[in-house]
Amino acid sequence: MLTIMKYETIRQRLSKFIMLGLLAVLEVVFLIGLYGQLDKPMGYAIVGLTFLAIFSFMYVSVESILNYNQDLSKKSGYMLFMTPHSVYEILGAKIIHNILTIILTALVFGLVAFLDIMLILLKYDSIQYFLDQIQQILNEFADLNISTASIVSTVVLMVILWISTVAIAFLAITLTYTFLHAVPAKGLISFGIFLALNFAYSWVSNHLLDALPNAYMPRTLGAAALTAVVAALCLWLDGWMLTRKLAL
Amino acid sequence: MLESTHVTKRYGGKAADDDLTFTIKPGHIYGLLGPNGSGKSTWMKIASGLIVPDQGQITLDGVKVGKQTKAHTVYMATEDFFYPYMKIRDVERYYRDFFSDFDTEKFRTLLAELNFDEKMKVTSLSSGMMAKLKIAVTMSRRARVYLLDEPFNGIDLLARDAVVKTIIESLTDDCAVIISSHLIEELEKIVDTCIFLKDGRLILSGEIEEIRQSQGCSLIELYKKLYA
Repeated sequence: MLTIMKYETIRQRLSKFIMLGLLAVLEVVFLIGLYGQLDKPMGYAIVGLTFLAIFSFMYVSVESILNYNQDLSKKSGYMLFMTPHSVYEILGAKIIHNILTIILTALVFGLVAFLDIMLILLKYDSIQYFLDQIQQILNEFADLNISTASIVSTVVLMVILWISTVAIAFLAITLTYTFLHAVPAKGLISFGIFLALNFAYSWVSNHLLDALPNAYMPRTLGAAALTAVVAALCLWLDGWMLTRKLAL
Repeated sequence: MLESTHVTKRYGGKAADDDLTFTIKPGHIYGLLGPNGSGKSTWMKIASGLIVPDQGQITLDGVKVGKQTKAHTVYMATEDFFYPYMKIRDVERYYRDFFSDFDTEKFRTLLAELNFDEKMKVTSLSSGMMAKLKIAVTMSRRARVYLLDEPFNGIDLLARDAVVKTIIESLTDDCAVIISSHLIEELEKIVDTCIFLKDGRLILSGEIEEIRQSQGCSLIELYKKLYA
């Protein structure tokens, strides 16, 4: 599985190089603006970095889904499916790779944002004011009972939600190239199936979470359990369809 | 070695392969013959573990084809299948990473013989060069079974000769090569056993010399007789 993940990284490296290149350029502009007392370039760089972070996060999230679509639609799919791995290992490796890539992207942009904010604070005299503001915000969080556990819980829930979305997207794509292979509007139909399954997942998830005690741990565990079931079911169906119905 | 037992595969109600039963033995080069739609590629994909039959099974040394046997069989598709980002050295790395039986030294020797530069991008190769690269990387695995799907498609005479030479030189006593092709003249030069398929069914099989003697004609004449 690690080898599959390695080659997923290699296949997706161009987009990462472009993102890192743009990040480096914008960061240089930001630093020139900051230390050259040039407000306009610094402002543009901050806006650019914000948009780049949002776009990168969105693109990285869907890139493995696009790659999976290519694996089933193009002849290069042989390269993947001829390897001595089961379809379950292949799909599992793809999903794990996707999650790790998203986390890494979030860490890179989060770290850059943190460092840039620190540089601004160090540069300007109002550092104490900013630190006070942050302290006040943290205090407000404390008043609202927003604890570290709640933040961790929210992040875990977001990751869980994304795993289910990827699993459902993989299922819709697999359907497109197996049972719907000869259907003219197969892309549209599978997209409709993707939306319907996501809606169904959200509906069940909301009802399940409402039925659970209003505390972070049971809600997170409940969502994790539901996602594990949905992802396992999707993967099982993917594997079954790929082995039985896929015509590479 | 490779046993195909009552293998049947249907697509949309039509049988691509229909009750195919035969045995592939080591030390031989097999020709899998038949016109388009006769079930050659489907059988090869089943034998390589890429698709699963609806009925019947194929076993390699008694092991049902699947994840385990993929490590000992190699399927070469007729289409170009390398990832577009790849240079020839990336192809080598990919096969080395995934297949423990990949012989890097042999691959590099073949690259030199076939006048390849490892820095060449696969997307820049002509169809003849692509065919030679595919056969070089495929035959550089020390596999038990080589499944070559239409290896002569779309390539000129010189490239065909290079492909044929590579195949013949790679054959050992413990492996089998199965080649599907419409180009009977090319196949007749290298295969020693033939399997004729028609509409997914096995209609004739045996060693070429026996078939020639029993049928009283060449392979090309027999092909015309069977499929005309």
